[in-house]
Amino acid sequence: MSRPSPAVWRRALAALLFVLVTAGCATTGQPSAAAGPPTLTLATGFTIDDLDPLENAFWGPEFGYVELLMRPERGGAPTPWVLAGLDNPQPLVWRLTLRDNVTFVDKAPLTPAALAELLTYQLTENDDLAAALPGASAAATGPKEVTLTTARPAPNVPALLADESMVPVYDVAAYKRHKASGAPVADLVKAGLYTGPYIVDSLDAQSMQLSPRADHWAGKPALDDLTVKFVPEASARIQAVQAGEADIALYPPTATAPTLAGRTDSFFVTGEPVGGTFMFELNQRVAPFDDPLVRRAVYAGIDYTEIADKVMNRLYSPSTGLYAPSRPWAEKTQVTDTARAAALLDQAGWTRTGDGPRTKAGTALRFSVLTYPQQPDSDALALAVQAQLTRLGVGVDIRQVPDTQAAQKDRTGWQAAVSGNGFISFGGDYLSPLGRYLRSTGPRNNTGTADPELDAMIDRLGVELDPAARDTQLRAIQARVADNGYLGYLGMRRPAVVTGPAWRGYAVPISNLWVTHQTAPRA
Amino acid sequence: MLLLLGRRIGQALVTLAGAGLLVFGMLAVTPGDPARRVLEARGVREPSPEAVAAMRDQLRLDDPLVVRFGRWAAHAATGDLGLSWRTGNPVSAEFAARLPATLRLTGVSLLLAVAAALLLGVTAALGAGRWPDALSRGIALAVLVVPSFVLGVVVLDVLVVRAGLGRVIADGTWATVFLPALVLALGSVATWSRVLRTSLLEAGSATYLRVSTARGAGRVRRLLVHQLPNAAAPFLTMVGLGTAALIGGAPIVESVFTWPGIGRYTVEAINGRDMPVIVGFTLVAVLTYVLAGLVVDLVCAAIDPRLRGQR
Repeated sequence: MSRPSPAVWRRALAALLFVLVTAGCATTGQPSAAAGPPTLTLATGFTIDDLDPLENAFWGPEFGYVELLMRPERGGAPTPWVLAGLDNPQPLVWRLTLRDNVTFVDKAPLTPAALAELLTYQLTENDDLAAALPGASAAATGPKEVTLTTARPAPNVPALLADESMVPVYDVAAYKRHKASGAPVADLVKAGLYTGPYIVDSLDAQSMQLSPRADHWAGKPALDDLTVKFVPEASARIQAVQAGEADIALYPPTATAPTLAGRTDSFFVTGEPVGGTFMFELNQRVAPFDDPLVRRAVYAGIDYTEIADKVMNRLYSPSTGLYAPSRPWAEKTQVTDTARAAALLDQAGWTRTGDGPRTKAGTALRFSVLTYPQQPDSDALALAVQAQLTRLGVGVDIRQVPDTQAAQKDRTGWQAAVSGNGFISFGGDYLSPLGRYLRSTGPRNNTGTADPELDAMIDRLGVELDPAARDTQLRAIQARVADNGYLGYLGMRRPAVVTGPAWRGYAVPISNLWVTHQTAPRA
Repeated sequence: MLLLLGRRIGQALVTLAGAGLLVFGMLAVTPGDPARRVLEARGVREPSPEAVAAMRDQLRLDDPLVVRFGRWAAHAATGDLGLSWRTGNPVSAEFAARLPATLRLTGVSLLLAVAAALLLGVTAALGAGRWPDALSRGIALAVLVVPSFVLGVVVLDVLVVRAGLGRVIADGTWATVFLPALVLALGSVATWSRVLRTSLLEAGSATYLRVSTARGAGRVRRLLVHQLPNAAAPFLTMVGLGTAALIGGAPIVESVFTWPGIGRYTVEAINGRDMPVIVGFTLVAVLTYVLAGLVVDLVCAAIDPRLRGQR
């Protein structure tokens, strides 16, 4: 084999250096200059795969291209959105009144017949809606009116219609035509299925581009241009804001808030929470939580204000019960009272001498609490609980597991858990969480709550249509839960985003409704 | 040569089958219900038991593990890696859509790594025992000990956010490839440059170099004409295997830089417990590794006649 000549080697090295230098020049791609308000670029952690209304329409209300029949509200009572009104003239009858001039992007009007077809189709295709309203049916009953008939009184209908995963408003006839055509799901971008103030112009794995809809029923929306970028890495989302490539980064980790202090290119903007974020579940099937006195003592021994203000640096609001104080039925059932906690433990037979742990028949009062890495805040909260309960003479071990739900399937294999579960749905549904977490047969009744009286109270609430009576019943349920130490919350995380300077005044919405018809820059 | 080729292909197939079995088995015992994960990955925050049961049925998760693996392996042999649990699209198609971006990133990264390793390795060899050698070693150590995800975040903060160079959200084009490629390359530069330095110094101790010197060859000529070709075999071996490692390291860098390639897609799949995608990526990585090893063997045999007769 002949050796390459020196000239060949020199040329090879020169070529490598050329590649290095030219590739280096490629770094000069600048961030896209802001086109000037009113435009908005959001960086979110989740990718929207397609516009299929049965699979992915729940993203739409969050980014302004899909609307709901009702709008979730902070106070808990949804208000009409695409509907002009929602009445309940009889226990089993809900009358839906349509707004004028609501059309889909494909120009088809949202008629009562189209709305009835939508409700009927969703009751068939959406398992969650069918389970929430078993036996319900819908029919057009007037020029602007649709009647929804339920098999039993369903006071949560307004909340269900305000839930993004239940009834997104879309053109069912056009969707059926698309399905029948066999066209790829990507073609739905051009199908014009929705009624929102923004139209999706393009969607790929990196981003979604939207433009305002001049013929929207509420008029032209505030933004001239809307872009949603899919950025899974949280730090990259925030850096995108700092580099001017995005205006708002969604889902920032709580731990990033201190790192942004003093910066002028990015701001950690928080809103008011609408409910608890982290449940503190105590397993009633095993000691020491098979004793309600111990459960009540633990809940009374936790300093919720300290957790919110000092441990979580005011990025949380103190938990006061199962619901946020903004709910009209909220009861302040979680009150820190260490003297009361100590008395309850004494009453339960767990006594203490000096500063040591409490004991009973030679056994120290100690339990382990599950946390999980997907929610780093669960560890911080568990550490706070550990420190606070140690002062009461209660030992706490922290055990991080890959999946708390999987660990809790072993009904007696765990004692306590910090779990990221809300107690009210996006639409404001207060019924489903009660049945899920506290009913004896609830699918997520991890704590082993088995109280026939509580079950009966939940059943009565499930058919109570009068708001005043509903509130009274909800207060009674909260009192019973607290009196027996069935469930509590450690904190309410404030919803947060990271914004650039032009959006520093952004009002963090409830229910992740990031973009609405009115959304505009607010410095 | 044909015997070598046949043996290596056989080894590759066994390796692929073993890797597939291992990864499939590990994911099968991962805590958590894949059906629930899939629903959550699709945005269903509180999947109902009915929805979970329906998804388990759809994914045929209640079949015995052996049956599931057999079904998957039979399809994989024909290039069908199944459907993504999250998106419902064929995994092969998802990979194909993202392959150009990943190839662009790894290609540029490979060029940068080879160029930088040559520069550092040759500099260290020429200045062995003196400050160029120490500087080269220092640089190599520095880039070796810093993990790529840390380096990526720092590079983004310093060069992009503060200095305004480049973009945080890379779009997969040539204009945005340099920074992620650089970060991906640096880990390889460290080892490659040190291997090259050692090989060059070994080649430099050969007796024929004294003859070359006596015939008037200068230092640079001796290095480029005599030492470098003789040091090429171990260096190329490292580069070949390192190329496969670049593919393996791409998920982290692609995620940090939001690079729209197979690696980032795989990280999203891991978060969503999207088993077909994870296993598919593993197979692609193993296949790349095996093919790279095979190519390196053949290239080294072509470059160095002494290696042709070795088994």
